[in-house]
Amino acid sequence: MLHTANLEALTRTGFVENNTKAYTTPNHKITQGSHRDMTVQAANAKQLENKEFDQMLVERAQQGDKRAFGLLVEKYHRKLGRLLSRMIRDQAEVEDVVQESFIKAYRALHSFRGDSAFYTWLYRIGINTAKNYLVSLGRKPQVMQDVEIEDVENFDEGNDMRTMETPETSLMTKEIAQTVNDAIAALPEELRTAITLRELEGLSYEDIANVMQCPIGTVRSRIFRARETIATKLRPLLDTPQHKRW
Amino acid sequence: MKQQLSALVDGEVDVERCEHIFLAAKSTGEVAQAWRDYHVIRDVIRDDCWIESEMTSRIMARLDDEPTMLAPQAMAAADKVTHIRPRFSKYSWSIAASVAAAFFVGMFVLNQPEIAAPTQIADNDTDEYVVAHHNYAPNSATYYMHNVAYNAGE
Amino acid sequence: MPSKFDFLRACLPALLLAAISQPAFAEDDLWATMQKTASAARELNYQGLFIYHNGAMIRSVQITHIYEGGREFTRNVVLDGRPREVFSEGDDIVIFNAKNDKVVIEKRRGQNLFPAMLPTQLHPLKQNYKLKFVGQERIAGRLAQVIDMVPNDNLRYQYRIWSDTEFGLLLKMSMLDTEGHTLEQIGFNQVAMLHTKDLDWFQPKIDTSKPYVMDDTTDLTHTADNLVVANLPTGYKKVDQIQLKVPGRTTQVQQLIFSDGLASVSLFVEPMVKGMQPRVGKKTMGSTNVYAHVLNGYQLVVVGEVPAQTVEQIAQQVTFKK
Repeated sequence: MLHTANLEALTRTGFVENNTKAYTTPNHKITQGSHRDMTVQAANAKQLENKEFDQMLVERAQQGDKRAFGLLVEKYHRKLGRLLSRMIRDQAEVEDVVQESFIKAYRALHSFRGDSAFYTWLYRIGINTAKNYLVSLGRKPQVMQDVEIEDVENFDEGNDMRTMETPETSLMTKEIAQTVNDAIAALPEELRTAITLRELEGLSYEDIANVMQCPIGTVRSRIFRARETIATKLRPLLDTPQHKRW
Repeated sequence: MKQQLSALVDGEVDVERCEHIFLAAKSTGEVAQAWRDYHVIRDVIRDDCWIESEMTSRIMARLDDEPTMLAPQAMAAADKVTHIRPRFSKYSWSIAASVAAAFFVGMFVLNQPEIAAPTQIADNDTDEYVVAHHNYAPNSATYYMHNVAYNAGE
Repeated sequence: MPSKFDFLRACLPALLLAAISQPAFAEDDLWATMQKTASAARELNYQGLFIYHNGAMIRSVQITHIYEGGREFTRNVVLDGRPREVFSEGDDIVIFNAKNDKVVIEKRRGQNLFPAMLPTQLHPLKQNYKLKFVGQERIAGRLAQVIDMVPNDNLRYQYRIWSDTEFGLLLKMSMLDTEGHTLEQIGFNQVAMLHTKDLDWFQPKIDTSKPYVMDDTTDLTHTADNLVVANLPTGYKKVDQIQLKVPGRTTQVQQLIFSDGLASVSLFVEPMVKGMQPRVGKKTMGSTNVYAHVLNGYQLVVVGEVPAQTVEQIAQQVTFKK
């Protein structure tokens, strides 16, 4: 299902003309046996965040497509909020800083060259915005030892950050987390395994196919069905009138 | 298409094959909703979830007030539309190079004895040029016919 | 010493002239209508069905257009023949084209698609066309002002436009040859204003179970000048230059696009290689004229929805820079 061989064809399309850089690395999957070490797994997980699509969204936004940036906002604002809530305790203040960070990121977007992943770049902006915010209030950004840039690089991989002290979460967050967890628990075995291997372990479809001993197409459909089943439970919570899409 | 979106979220779809998913995700339909839902699910599972229900719409509302950005390539396009070209651009060298290249190609070609005597254009000789004209020239009312010419060539 | 009276007398002919040339004022009003028509197609929200006619060719197209947050979103669904959908967002155009077992995706930039046919910059048009008010007519249930765009010379065709009296939307447009025969016509059968900013419709309906492939035959590299067209026909300017990769050809073809603001002409320049049959001559297909010519080891082909004289003149004026 992966057509890396089409890269050459791709570079010949007008579509890529301005974007050659983003596509010079095809979406290679590292396929090794179960003896893979952790480094490989982490690299894999990073790849699976679909940096290439992020990069495409960034480039579209750079060309004036605000909605492309909107997809990035939708994708990353929760992660960023979570990250910043380790530095700023007050929920309302976090909201402001998250908002400010995205505006800053948008304004600085033309300077983003894709040397790092978009989310790394975004999290840096977020952390700096939060630091400045705390300084402006005369508060020393105390949590800085906890949240340093190096952590940001790994933040997405869900490593030890997860074990850090969890700040107070809103009622809504708890309710949503509860709903998702219940829905996962209620999934048929093979759907639950597929979605867990994907989201928690960060395995590629190919690896999951090896683990579950089924074709890749089946993996794709199981993960999709799992997501749809959970989403059906989730939607009533998310689709409150004020949560209409922009 | 939502299944394709699901695979795209996992980086299992080549980016050059996702134009239709991208379009749909940007609209306000089911696919767009799924883009949000799948990421919320991911964030909850990874314990990265922090929900503020109106965040996206609030940020987008503020972005509406931001000037639309023009990256260098977009500015080049605008430049093209307004027909304003700097006299001495950084491309001067490549222009010179391509002029030279074209000149030499011309020379070689002229020296080739194999070139046949020109013949009058016949019925379908120029079809592909007509199609290309309709494809890329602006303001072409014949736009909706392209596929006819394409079909003829299939 | 000139008196005040002398000064007034000197002004007299000019004043008289202004009084006589009353239609000149009317033409200003007509240009204002044109400006409104050019903007309306881009800034209004509407949905409708239009028919495109060219010779024996007829196509019905369903259009939805929304202007939101300073950007234009358009979907054109071609209802006749093979499924084909054209999406545009700003200047970016994506076409989904069903072909047998797959959907081919093509990308374009910056076309003026109906009803956004008139350029928002009217200046080039003012130099090349005169406007003439024809009357009022009902199109698609709407009252329209009918205006003729009469060319100043025989290097371009005449156009007639129907502009909605209330909203200024272009309801219909036709292209006429020098004898007044309609060459091409495009116009709404039905049209309605939309009162929503919803974008649910902005996604392809073409069979999503089929594989989607990018059209890789074209390479839209905007290239630099390596050839000159010394004396372009009056009013025509070069608007773009791109490189095309034509299937089955080893060398790339250059395409130069010229426009007078409305009509457009393409000049194709292709190096002759061994085994290639040079072509010369001219051809007329409906509103399209073609002129082929060989120069300096290059095959030149000029194509445009303009009179034969115009394509010929462009082809004859090509020279290669040393």
